[in-house]
Amino acid sequence: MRDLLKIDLKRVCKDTLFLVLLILAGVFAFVGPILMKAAFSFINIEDIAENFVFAKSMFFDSFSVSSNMGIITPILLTVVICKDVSHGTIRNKIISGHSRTSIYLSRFITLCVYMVGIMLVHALLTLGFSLMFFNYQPKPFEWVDFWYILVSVGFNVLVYVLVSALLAFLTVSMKTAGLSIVLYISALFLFIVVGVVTNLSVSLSFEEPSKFLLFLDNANAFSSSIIGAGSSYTTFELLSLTLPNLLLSGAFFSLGLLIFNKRDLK
Amino acid sequence: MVLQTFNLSKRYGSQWALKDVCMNVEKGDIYGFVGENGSGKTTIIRLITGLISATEGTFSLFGVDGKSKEILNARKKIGAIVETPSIYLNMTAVDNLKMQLGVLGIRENNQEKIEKVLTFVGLIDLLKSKKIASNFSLGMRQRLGIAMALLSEPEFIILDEPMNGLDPAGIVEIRELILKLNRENGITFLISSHILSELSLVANKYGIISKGKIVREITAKELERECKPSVTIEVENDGGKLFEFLTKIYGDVEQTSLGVKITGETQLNELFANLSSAGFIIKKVNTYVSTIEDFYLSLMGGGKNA
Repeated sequence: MRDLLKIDLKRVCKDTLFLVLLILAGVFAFVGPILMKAAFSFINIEDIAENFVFAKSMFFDSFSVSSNMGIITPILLTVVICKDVSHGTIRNKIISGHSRTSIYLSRFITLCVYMVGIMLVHALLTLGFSLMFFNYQPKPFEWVDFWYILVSVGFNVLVYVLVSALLAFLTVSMKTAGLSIVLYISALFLFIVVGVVTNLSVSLSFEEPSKFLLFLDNANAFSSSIIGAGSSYTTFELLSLTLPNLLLSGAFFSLGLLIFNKRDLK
Repeated sequence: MVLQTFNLSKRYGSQWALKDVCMNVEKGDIYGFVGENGSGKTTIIRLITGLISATEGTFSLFGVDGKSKEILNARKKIGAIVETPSIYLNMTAVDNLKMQLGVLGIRENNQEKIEKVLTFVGLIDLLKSKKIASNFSLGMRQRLGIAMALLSEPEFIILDEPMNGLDPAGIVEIRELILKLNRENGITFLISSHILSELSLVANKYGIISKGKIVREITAKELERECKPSVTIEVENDGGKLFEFLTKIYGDVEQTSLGVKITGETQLNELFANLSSAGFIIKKVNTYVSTIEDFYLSLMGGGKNA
């Protein structure tokens, strides 16, 4: 498995699309804050903007699966991963005596590593560029904020583990990379729509929203609004951000493995 | 025994791609797999290499049951090219070989191994080349595929249509490579091909498959006996007398549109002497040696008139 993983990680690294992703990660990280700064400057609201636009929100927003990089990264990585099938090189792995389980696990881990890695690079670059123009947050930075950042990044990592599990499942279930991508985008938009509805229900409710509604709003990995929005998490929030992601990731991973073990390969 | 299949069958939906295939490949064989398009050759190869699973039946590879977990270790002793060479088109030849060494878990003497296999397949010029595989000719890709199959120093190599798309010089090189590996390294081969005449130059055993079933397994020596020579004679003013005359002397005689045909070993000087003494004036004589194609066509229900 170790040998397979080394090869899969190396293969993605050598692909031109990986370089494209790194370039885009930098470009989008730079363009966002500078455009915002330019816009505020153009309409002369820089002083006002200082009080409500902060680098912290840009940093956590850059992780979003519905952001530019959040959409492009899974798509391009899916294309790269699926080249193993389109080039027929997955046959070499099976003929060489590797089990289907190790091949699938290696694919999933490779997706996770690059998905999380690229999004982290993008987010850190976004933070770096936005700190050039905006303050980090309204109040002074304290060490407890550092712990909050780590936990929030951890939740975002879990989101991309779920995305990787979903894509690993789709790439073995569907015949082509294109179909996998279309289904992923469809699922993404469906969850975003559901997330918008639950979020509005929670925000606009006159009464205390039900625990179930809150849970649903927090658990929706594709549009959870509470990650990075505050300064600490309650136990309920910690559980609703972690357990559904882990369970769904496990479910997609297991289903994908079952399908891959049974599937005939050309 | 390197490979044995026991009633190996594969069904896609309601269609049987393979049905009750029993074949044996012994150590040192160059087993030629012959069949028309869609006969099931590639399906068997995919089953043995683990790309697909059997509907019924099983096989054993180096004595290991194909359904057991130990088959993964047995597969480490084989190299294979299934349909087309499996290479990374965006990488150079050397990078492809390095990737394959990684897949095989080989970490020692890698550079030496790469040079050795590239020299063996006649691609040593690519050792320092930056050219990526998408710019290779089909022949180069085939040879690179064989080089990758050789990296693990396999005991059994499976080649699915290795001559496809190659020019005559390329076909000769691949053929000589196969013979060299078989003679010098004792590597067993299973080769499927449509180019029957090329197969007959390397194979010592044949499996003839049609519509998913093995029609016949035959050794090269047995095939030689099956592919009988024949002589066709045309004489002046025949009138049916030649057929009558030759039937009395030779066993297997038939009247064809081209003359009277005698099948089997025939001493020509003896034949001419017989005809001359009977007063026949020979107009035309054709000798013919049946080939594997003729034998194959006769098994498939076709035929070729001499």
